[in-house]
Amino acid sequence: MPGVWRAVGYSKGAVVVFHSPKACAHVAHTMDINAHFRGIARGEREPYGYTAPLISTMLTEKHSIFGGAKQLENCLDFVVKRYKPQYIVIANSCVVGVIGDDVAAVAAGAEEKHNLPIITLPCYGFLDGEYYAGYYGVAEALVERFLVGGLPKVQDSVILLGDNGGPNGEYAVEVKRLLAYFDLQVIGQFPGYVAYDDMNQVTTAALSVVLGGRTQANDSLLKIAKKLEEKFAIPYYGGVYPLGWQGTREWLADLGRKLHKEESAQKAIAEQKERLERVLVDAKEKLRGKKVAVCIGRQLEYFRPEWVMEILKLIEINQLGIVLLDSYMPKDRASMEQAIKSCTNINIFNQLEGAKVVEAADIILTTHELEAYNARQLFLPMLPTVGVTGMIKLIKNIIKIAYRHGDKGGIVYG
Amino acid sequence: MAKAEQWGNICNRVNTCALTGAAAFFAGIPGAEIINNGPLWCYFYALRYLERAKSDIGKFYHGTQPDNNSVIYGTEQFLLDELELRKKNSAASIMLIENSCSVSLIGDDIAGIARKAKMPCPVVCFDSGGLLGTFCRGYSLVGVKCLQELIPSKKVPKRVGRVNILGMSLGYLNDDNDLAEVKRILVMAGYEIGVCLGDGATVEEIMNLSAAEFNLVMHEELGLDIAKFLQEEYAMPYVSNGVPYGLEGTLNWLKALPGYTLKQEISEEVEKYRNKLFAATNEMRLVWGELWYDNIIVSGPSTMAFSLAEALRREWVDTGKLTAILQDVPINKKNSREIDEILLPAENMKEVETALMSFNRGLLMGSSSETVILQRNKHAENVQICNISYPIVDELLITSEPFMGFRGAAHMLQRLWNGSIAMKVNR
Repeated sequence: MPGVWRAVGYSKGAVVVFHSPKACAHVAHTMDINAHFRGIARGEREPYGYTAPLISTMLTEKHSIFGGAKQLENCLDFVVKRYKPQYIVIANSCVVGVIGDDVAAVAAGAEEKHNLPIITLPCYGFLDGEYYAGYYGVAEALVERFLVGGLPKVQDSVILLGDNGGPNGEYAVEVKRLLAYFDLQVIGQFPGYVAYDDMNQVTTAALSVVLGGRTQANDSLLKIAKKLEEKFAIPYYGGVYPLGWQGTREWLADLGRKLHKEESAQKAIAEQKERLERVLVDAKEKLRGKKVAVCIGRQLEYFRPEWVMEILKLIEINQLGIVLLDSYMPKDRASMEQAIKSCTNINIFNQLEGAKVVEAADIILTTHELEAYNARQLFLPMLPTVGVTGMIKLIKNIIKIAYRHGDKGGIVYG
Repeated sequence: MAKAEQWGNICNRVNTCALTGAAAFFAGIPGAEIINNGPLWCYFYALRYLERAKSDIGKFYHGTQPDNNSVIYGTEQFLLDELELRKKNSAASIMLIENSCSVSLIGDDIAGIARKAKMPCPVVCFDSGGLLGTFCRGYSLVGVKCLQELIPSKKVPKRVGRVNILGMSLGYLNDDNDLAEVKRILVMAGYEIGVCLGDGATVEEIMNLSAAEFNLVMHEELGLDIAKFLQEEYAMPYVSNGVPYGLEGTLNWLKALPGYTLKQEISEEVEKYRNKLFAATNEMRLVWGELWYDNIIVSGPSTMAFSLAEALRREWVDTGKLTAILQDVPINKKNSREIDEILLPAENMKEVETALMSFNRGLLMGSSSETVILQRNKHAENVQICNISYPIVDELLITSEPFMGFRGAAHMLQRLWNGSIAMKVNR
């Protein structure tokens, strides 16, 4: 459900209806509140942008007996009258999946009655997949329902695919900066940030760029990119993640090859390298003699260790060891161990053995907050900032935490 | 028949589900463990909500996370596995098994499964998803269920002046500080504190709750149904008189308690604060002018928002228009000469939306949820914000200053003045 919400949450003209008890909508609303303030704190997002109204059909106990289809129908009538949306997206809760409401039929009836596009997916809360199932499903439906071909392409224009904090988020801003080396201009971010009236602009893009992150997100977005290519002849660039120096270099070089602009890529790589090296000189000096431990408890699907190991090597810091936390199932632990060994020869410890390593470290880079109040921890995010900007941000945070005086511990969010 | 709730943009209202409310009640019992029999989404939401007040709740709050096959085969195996784990790893004083909405519909015999697991502690089973209602409904229903399961003794001798506190919860912002202040004032007024049900009382203490002379209901939406149950089953009288905000408000609240006589300690404290607040705010007035707001919105749980709105206008500030948005439907209809407009999102959704979307130049006492609406409507710069309820993302409250009582009166007045000065400085 939050995936459905996020897929159109900031698309002007949209209204999202949760066919659910009231509380499910409150969960999504709470996520939105947190995202709003995170955006403000990081100066990432214009806080006064459009946010789609979020309506719950407010299912109660009686609907579990008599069904909630009529409630949905009435709610859609209300939404059309009150908010005058240009389109409606319905997200279904697990309750609806258990009750068995024919949501598609209600949506089709309301669409005809109000002459208004109404999108729904056969996804029912936890019964059908997680966040990306909803996100991808809506994105695919928007492509099918709203995008039309035949419009002339705008030269050197790019449509970004995915969310990652929105158009003013660190990821999109960095990607836009890198795309500028190739004289590419971003004209929108699909699906969540394209207004209904601007949907057709999507098909005028000369290229789509996938804001991939975790494997599952990347897979879903690549499917959308392929669909845009098939239907509207928009070539896509995706599958490479500009994370860490190696990732960024590959991303730039691959894009250069794709666009036949190898020289622009080389220029970009050279400038980014120089930018990074300036920071590395300072970091090596400031971190001389400091000791670091890395604690990892996330599955490989959600955390690739290569970029962290690469940064630690580049700043030439003394690495005491890598601690694999107890949260792993044996198979997942083995996969992570293998991934670590493929990029570093630093010793790997289990949580018990690793306690001394953690205690001896000046800085701890960790995927999970440790309970020790005086441990100086840097939280390794699920979606790290990309490009050299992301590397610099992480390095500066490592320096900040290394220079923390006294017995102050706590966590810094990388 | 209850009126159907009005639809509207959910972002204009703040209310969590019965699942969270039920978990909050048990989170307030030392040694209790809670099992959320439902999907990860429901578990994490309630967990994160309660973590704000009880940072170690993750040690006592567990989820079964059934898969989608459970719709056909039930959740029994998931629940039994979790119960086995609890038996091995914990020594709970009492356990709550709460079903989420969808699991409630599956129809598993949760109590039967719990019996099969032979748990070594009392187990309360509860279908408590959002289908049932909101936070306060989950809290009050599970409160009664908890008493029905434990069956406190009826043979405990009564103690004159002993009072149980009902209807306070760590699910409300600043609850620990408010509870401490309420207890302090009651003791100062000559009462003995009995059981704080769902907010600190152990299972052993709950078993002896009938020793109290009366039950004191704080937040009606949480405690009134529990008080009525105790009146019917244990012949315990109750008092429900809102919550004490402001100096005079707190004094009036005390005067309404059975057996209250003015103690010298109380009158000295009130006098001390009267003089202190008067002198300090007069000094501020010289420089900064009056605490005047064209409009005020107070939004929060019903008892809190109503009582606070009254104290606000009677004692702290002046305003052209005061609107109170009561986020749950109060059990008893509320009216006040101090409040110009009372809105219930459940019944006046359109008016609530209009009030928030058009709000400008005034004071908002609510949560970060209302602040987001104002910011997105470009009005926040003209509005002074003072958080009084969850969710709260844009302010850190970690000291032991209460909102309620005599100390709370000083604290709230301080927040209002400092907020007003900051607005003027940054204008």
